[in-house]
Amino acid sequence: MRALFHFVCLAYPRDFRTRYFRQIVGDYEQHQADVPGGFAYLLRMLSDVLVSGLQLRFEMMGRDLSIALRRLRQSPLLVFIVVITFALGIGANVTVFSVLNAVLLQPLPYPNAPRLITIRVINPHWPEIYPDSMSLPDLWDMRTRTTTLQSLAGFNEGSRTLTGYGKPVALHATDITWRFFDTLGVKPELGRFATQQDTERAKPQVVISDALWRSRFNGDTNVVGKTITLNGVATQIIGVAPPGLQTPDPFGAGFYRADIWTLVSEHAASNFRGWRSMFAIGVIRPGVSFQAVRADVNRVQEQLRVQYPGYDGHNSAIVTPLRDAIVGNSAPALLWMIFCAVLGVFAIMCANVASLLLTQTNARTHELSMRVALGASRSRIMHQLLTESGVLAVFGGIVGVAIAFIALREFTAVASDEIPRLAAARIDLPVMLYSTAIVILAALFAGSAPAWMLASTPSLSLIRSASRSGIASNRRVQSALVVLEIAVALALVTASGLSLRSFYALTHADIGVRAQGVYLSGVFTFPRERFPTADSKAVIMDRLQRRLAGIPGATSSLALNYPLGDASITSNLDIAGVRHAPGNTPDAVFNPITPAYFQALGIPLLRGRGFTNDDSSSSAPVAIVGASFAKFFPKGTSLVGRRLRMNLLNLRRPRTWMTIVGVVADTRNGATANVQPEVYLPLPQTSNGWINAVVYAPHADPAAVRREISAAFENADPLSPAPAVHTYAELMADSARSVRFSAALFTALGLIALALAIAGIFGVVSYAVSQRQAEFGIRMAIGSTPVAIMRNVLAGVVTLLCAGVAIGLVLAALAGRAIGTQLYDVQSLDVATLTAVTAILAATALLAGALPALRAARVDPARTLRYE
Amino acid sequence: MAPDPRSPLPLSPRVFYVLLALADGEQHGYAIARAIETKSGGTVRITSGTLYPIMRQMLDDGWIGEVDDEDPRRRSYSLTPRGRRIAQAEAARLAEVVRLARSCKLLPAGA
Repeated sequence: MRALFHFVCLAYPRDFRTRYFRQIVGDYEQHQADVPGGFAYLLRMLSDVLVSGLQLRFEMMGRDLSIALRRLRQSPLLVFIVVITFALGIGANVTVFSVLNAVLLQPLPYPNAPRLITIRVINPHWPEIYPDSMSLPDLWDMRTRTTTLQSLAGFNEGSRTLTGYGKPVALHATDITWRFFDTLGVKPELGRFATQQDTERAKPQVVISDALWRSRFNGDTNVVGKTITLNGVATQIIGVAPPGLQTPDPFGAGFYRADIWTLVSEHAASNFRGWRSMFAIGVIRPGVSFQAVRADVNRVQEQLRVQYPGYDGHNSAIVTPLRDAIVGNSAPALLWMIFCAVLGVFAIMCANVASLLLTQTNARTHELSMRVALGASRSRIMHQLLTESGVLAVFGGIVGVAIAFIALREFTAVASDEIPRLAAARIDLPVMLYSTAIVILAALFAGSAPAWMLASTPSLSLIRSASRSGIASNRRVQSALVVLEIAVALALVTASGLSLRSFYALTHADIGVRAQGVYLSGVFTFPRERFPTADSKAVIMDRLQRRLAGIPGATSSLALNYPLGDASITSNLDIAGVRHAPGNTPDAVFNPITPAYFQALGIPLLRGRGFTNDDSSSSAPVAIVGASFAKFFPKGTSLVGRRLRMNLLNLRRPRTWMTIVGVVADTRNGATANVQPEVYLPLPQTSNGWINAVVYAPHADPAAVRREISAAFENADPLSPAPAVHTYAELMADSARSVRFSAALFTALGLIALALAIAGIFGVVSYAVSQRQAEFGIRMAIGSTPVAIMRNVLAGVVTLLCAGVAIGLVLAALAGRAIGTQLYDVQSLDVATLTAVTAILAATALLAGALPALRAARVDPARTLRYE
Repeated sequence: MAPDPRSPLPLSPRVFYVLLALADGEQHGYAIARAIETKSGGTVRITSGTLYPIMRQMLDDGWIGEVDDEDPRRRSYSLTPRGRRIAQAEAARLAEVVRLARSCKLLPAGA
């Protein structure tokens, strides 16, 4: 019974409990003696204890709160600084956590999410060609022969042009097999999704996105069954997908938003086993283990290898949970790193606020000692101090969440392409819970330093107001906090420096083409349905070239691809007179171009000749190769005059021997890419599904050139949308997006950390100087000079700095190691960066210390001594 | 100058009954609670759980005082002069209320 009382009495605040517990229990025992067996009385008693206990606690909290508010109103500057500091730290924290939550912690947005897997089929000998994809016949076999999968579907990214609704519109398409939506587990918003019969119908079938339905079809509920024209082909709409449905992109950046899902026949005659056009996504049968699926898929792949040695002889299948495939390898590491960085800023923030509050507590020693003398218990005063820091943290938290809200909007706008699933990040319930936890932590960390200081100071010295011993321990705590701040700031600024240097190196790397004055169009696709023959495409290309040639002062050309373009084709080839082991034939990048391509990009011709207009569809097949092509030949062989043969469908005369007529310098497909052997062919001798324009116009007005290139495409084919136009500067910056992103982030965090550290140093030194006025006065009186006093103060700063830098260098080395994979052309332990960062930190730290030091030097001995 | 004893009025019934219970002389907590229940004819119900928080406030405000009892488990309480003045002021206030009720014929005269 006593134990029960003990437990329920915990509702009372402690001081009340210690004073009245014995009386309450005594009264109950007395009542039991007077009126035995009164169970109802016991219940009443316990509920009374509980209710009045909580009431006492709330009253106490309310009192603390009103005292805290009253006190804080007296120092608006302190409140302002602390709230801003808290807001920055909490804001950064909440922003990053909401990203982390969306990207790494939330499930995928499909009903079947936990059971979704991908199957990647790879050929170790041809890694560049159709990486990870499957042919439709293989997909069919995999679907019908496996027993552990409930459903398996293929999909691939594509594009279509929609005509008949104003200007032609380029639509982002996903080609799918009919099980696609079943596999994901999503239901249509309108109409239906595909059935197996749909794929065999004469008229192509399509599912449109909710966004397209609303924007192009005004949300018309009769849209199902309508016929639209895609790439010039009449296509029937069978359904509308639910809003926001995204297509998983397990081999790219997470997801993409498709406008339409076009149905592909699973076993049309045109499908052949060698054409690996589909990515595979499947859903595991309920209750089947992932290992069982892996074994099952490998078993079927083994059958295919034996059955179709010509196509699948070398292929092997890799099964991965879709979640892992989407989130990828680099994003999680980067995010956790950023999260660590933000926690570092948070630590600095708490240290700073703690330091500020310590200074305040010291200034309040008189008040607090009065209260102790009047009988306030220590725990009451600690409660009071924690309530104050709690109020500040809550204000800071509110402003911080507001900052996070804005930051997140900016952040998702900038980096959605970079980080899979980032677009889904928002301030939701888990994030709010996290924010609450962070606010509580902030209040405890920042508030506990003064409270602890108070608890560790003997009462006597508290009462002996403004005691020196209290201040000494106080200063030790503050110094430790400043050392921590310097260390974290150093690490963060180093990470930022390394990222900035990488970004510069990446965007200024020499990739073998001229960087200035070059304009590059995006891919212009020839829809197969409208341009079935090479000649029909040639008409368009002629028109295009004539218009481009009209740009004043420009050198213009057409090409299948260009360095940093995303339309390259790799093929394996035979070289006359050089034998290669089967399955080990050399690969080369293949690029049909018009003659001016090399002049436009400034690629020097090293040997032989360039292409001319005489290299036509009817003339002898010729090729120009990059210098690295020499690696396929014995050393010293002259490349000009040698012959090669490619296995490509794009050639007008497939498998004919081509003579090498020239050698040009190598190019690279980006700063981090290796040089690949490249084969250039005359454009008229090939027939391609798409084309790019490459224009060099050094002196023309950039806006006019861009307009003119777009106009040339619109003029050449009014039924297709004109591609976008870029410069190399833009493409370089774009290819370094992820580094730019981390550089921007680390720089922001680094600057916040640096600012906080400077504020911390300034605060501590100012405070120390103000406490040592008397000492300085005496020193001056006995002959010390102002310079010596300044030196004395700054020596303190240097001590803090050295300790901070020593710890900081270790942290910086760890940080550098952690972002090592992100770096380009910079060592993770880069001496130049570390030196520069340390110098910046030292300079700012000394500057922050110099102001109070100057004040110390101006002490008037007569005055300060009089005060004592 | 002593504070005006009317300033804390009106008192809550429980507080007033505690003062009434102590008006006869010093008592310990349990006896106070029982006295309140009997004196109010059971309309004011109170246990030690709610009694002591009220009494602590009254102690802090100097309305009652605390003395040690022979039984070490309990302590006795008594009215301070200030507590007595406040109880008187409250009783006077209530008498005035009763007078008013009579003049409005809400209560029979002289009952």
